[in-house]
Amino acid sequence: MLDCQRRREPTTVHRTPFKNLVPPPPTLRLTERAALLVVDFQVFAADRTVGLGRLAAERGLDDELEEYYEQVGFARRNARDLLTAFRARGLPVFYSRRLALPGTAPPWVPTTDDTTASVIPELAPLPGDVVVTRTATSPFAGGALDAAMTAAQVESLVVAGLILGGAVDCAVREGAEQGRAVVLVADACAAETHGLHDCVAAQLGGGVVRVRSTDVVLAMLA
Amino acid sequence: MSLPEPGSIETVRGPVPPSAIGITHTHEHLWCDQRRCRSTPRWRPLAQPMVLDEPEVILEELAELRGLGVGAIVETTVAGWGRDVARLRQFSERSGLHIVATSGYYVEACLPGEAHALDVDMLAERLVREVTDGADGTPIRPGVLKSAISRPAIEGVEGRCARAVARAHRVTGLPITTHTSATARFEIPGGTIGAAHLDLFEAEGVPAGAVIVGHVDENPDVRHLEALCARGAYVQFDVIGKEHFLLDATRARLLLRLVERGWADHLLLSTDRARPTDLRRHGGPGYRHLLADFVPRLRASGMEERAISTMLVDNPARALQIRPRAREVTS
Repeated sequence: MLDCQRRREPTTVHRTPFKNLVPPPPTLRLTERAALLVVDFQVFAADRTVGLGRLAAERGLDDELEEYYEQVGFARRNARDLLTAFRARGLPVFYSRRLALPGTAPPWVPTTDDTTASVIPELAPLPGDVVVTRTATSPFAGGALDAAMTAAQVESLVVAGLILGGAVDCAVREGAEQGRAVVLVADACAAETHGLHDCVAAQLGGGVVRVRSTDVVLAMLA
Repeated sequence: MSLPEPGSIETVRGPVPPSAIGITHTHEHLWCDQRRCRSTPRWRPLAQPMVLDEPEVILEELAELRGLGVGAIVETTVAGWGRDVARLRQFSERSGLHIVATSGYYVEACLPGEAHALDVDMLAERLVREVTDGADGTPIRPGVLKSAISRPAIEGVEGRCARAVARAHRVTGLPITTHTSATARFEIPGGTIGAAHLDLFEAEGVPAGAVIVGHVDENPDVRHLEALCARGAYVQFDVIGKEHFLLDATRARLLLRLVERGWADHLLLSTDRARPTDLRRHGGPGYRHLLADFVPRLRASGMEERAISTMLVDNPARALQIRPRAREVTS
């Protein structure tokens, strides 16, 4: 199982990361310049019967994905509530969606725009949402998403999605480097294991990135 | 019942003179149950909640502490997540250790349900009643008030509770001990909410010298710690041994630096044990880590015995004393 705590020698991920040696920014308030970014909540990553889940089952390893799909279950419900809240306030919603060029990505990422490449139905984009499809890991690869957010004058970015240690990690880091205040909604994301979820969230938090729960983000929007 | 006598320390077996308590751990848990806190249905339950519910295991630990020379423990669990002052009294009677129980309010998720609907004065009144009449349906009185903040700012119901703690202090004279949640520490200048806590308390008429700023060794900044000391507050290194926050070696160096700069009279030490895996029966370092492991490290780093004794004995004896109450000060 993936876990950031290597058992061979005691390690830690929570001790002061370098970025937290500087004073933190003031407490963030989500305003009309805030947007929600939904990353890779696509069928291949969220539905156990296809994509990742099917590959694992074919190898007889489906039990290994228990923690991941448990997290996906929570994350998709929380992402739905975030979408509802952002749309109710007229705040922009962005989707980043992954396709792969043949031979350039892990085999569970679809290479054609088939049904497994769709965003799962309960989180599907609505008219007015911005959907950016990419072929690289990072949602900001190629610049299209940044351009769309710049055009929408997005200053604060709330991020939810799959997988925390991959595309979501990239979105959070690059979103922050573009000068946006980023809120990672930890319980609206899933990682391969519970341990890795805690580890990546702890590593991303701090500096200009805040890690928050769905409840807290909903309260910030209220 | 009456208010506790200023100058004494209120323990679960009644008031004692400050000279009676000896070496004191000023922030520990002996009996608690975080499963009683409001849990979010939005995520899986905590893998390892703070639950201590094995009396014999705790008594083993306390016996060890007594053998090492410890005289007292401040048990900082409050109503809302399993405080049981009658149990603490049993522990005290069976171990021979003084135990100081705590009133006040923990983080928002662990507040008693009714607290969310009460205003500041009503919240304060609940605390004063615990101090005058006893807590948890017993005549056993707490000796410390706790204020806890889980966000990077003092706001909402936690803010009301903090003000209530301040007002209860002015009526009762009980010292105040504070908590900052580790999840918020990287967004707060200095790593704890201590400075903001002192601002709020002082605005409510509480002198900084009546306040123990806790959990300063989760994300410390020595400049911030010195500033807290300079304001007159106690600064408490209370997660000693939890090296996922900070190495004990770093703690020792920071303490030595603070002592060298003249702040020894403001420093308190503890380990904040709260989970079964913290305890020796379950493979953890136990409460004994402070005296058996950390104090030798302090000595090895060059800390003088006098300073060690100040932090372990003299400062708790002063910090835990019931303060003169507001009307006694102003009359």
